[in-house]
Amino acid sequence: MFRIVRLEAKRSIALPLLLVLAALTRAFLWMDIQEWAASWASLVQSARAIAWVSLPVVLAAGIWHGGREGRNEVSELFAATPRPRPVRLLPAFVAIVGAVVIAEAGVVAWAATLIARHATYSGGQWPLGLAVGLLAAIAVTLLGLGIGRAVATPVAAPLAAVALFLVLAVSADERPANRLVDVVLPMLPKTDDFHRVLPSLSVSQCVWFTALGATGVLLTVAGTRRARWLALTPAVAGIALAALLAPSGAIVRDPQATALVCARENNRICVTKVHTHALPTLVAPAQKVLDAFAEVPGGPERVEEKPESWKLDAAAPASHGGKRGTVRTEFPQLTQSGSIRWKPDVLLAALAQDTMFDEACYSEEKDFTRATDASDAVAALLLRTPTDELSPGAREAYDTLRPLPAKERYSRIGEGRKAGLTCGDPLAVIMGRGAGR
Amino acid sequence: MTRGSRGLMLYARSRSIPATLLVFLAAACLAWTGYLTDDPATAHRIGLIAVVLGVAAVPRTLAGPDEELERATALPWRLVRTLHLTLLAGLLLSLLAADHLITARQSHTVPFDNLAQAVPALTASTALSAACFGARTAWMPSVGWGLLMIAVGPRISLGGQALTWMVQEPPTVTSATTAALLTVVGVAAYARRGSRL
Repeated sequence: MFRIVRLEAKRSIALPLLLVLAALTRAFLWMDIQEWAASWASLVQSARAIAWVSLPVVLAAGIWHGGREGRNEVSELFAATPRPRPVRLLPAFVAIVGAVVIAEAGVVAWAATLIARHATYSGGQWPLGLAVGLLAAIAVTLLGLGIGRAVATPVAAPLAAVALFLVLAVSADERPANRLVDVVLPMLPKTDDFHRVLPSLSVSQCVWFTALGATGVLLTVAGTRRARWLALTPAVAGIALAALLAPSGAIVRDPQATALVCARENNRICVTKVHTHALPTLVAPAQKVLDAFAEVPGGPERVEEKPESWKLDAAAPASHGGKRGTVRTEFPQLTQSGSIRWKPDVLLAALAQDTMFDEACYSEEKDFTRATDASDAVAALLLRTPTDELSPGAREAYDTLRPLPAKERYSRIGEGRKAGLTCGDPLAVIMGRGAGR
Repeated sequence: MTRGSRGLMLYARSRSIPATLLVFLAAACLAWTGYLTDDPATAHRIGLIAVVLGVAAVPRTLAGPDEELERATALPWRLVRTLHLTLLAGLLLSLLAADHLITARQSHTVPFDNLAQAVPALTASTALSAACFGARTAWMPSVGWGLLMIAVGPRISLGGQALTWMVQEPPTVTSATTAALLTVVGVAAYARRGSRL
């Protein structure tokens, strides 16, 4: 048996498939490494998202492998072998499925070793998420084998690959929010570090992909047209059962991931548990901001990461100064994914902005620019950030604040901050023109 | 039926031209559905996938059931092969461009100059693969490359522009040169050698 499998692996498409699939998966995972480099949830999302590129390759390879007897016109000759058809085809199954499993699992294992060094929260569900992705690849391979044996024309493989690519690419672009779509598609619904996929979705996807794989196996071993039609039964039953099991809203908020963890040396600086790896880098700029605003009346006393996501949570209403003592910051890369690369000066600029105004207040670009100008001027004055790149508006505010006596200057910054957090016009306040917008 | 038209009919049947035309029609229908979506990015992607779908059926036509037997016949094969490729690419291009005329939209999902570059170059790259690896496996490099270009999207670097020539919009000098080279080399290699036996 082992000898036949080795022969199959050497003489079939298995080895090229292994290399192509591993290279493709590795390349596409590498392209968005910043998305998942420190978060298990993001790795599962990224690994599953690659399905729209990898599964058409897998399907085409399966069809090509399954159709080789038909293409070479040796079906009748091999049918005369005195062994049951499933036993005769077993080495073909093992070779092609083995290639897919080794390629996909190998690349994901490489990614997992990278993550293990940085990730601080796993949620415990990532193995299930990755296993479902692998199961989807196996199911599509088996389905390909079945289609290949049923339709032996050489154009079946390229046409099926293009068709599957079309379906998956369009679904990736415009995905309807539907429980059936969530089950059928191998790509996960949109999620991020602050949310988790319900295990019931993974279980229902396991049911669907197992049924699809069973259909593939039955199609492969089917000898008659009737048997081929009957082979579709598991897929139909599987999709019905999976749709019943699937939850209607598969993505839910993960309270454990969003729980705040504060720095040991300074419990006024906190981030979400899932981003604890970011804390050491955040402490220095956050402390700098707190120290710089210490003299400002009503200045901030804490820095916290905002545990809400702009992708999935409903937009939070403007705070109207509800918690002026806390700077609630959101780092686009940090919050939405597990990025581990960012610069302290970028963090400092983001923190300075979040200290001075609430972004949710300023949907108009003109108002946002005015608030940013005020923030930049204050940052240049208190944090001693470079003044070379200040915009004309920010430069004017900076020049207005700078000659003022210290008490008047801090008071005006405090008033400007209050206006920025209560949806007023912080630039007007800093320039001494009142807070109206 | 005259002898010439009978020969033409037999040639078309031996190369599965009728089935290929059906796939071309399917590609044209797919490109047309691109106009039904509101999202321009999706419409554009569908337009490009339609090109790859059409070209995916071409390799089957690049060799007959018995190439060795065919080549023994006294026909100007180089001319036949060149005409074969030109007609197929021209037909696919016409069908895809016809969508634009029928829907009479101001903007095409895939701009016409990109389409006029993608269809001949991808067809010729299939022909080049057939000359190098045989008609049976000729779809693998061309369809694989086409789908990969769509998945990756346009790249800015010089090498990237050459590798993603099909999705550069508007076509750059590098992408247009790559497409032209592929077209010329593909057609020349296939016309000269035919499908690898």
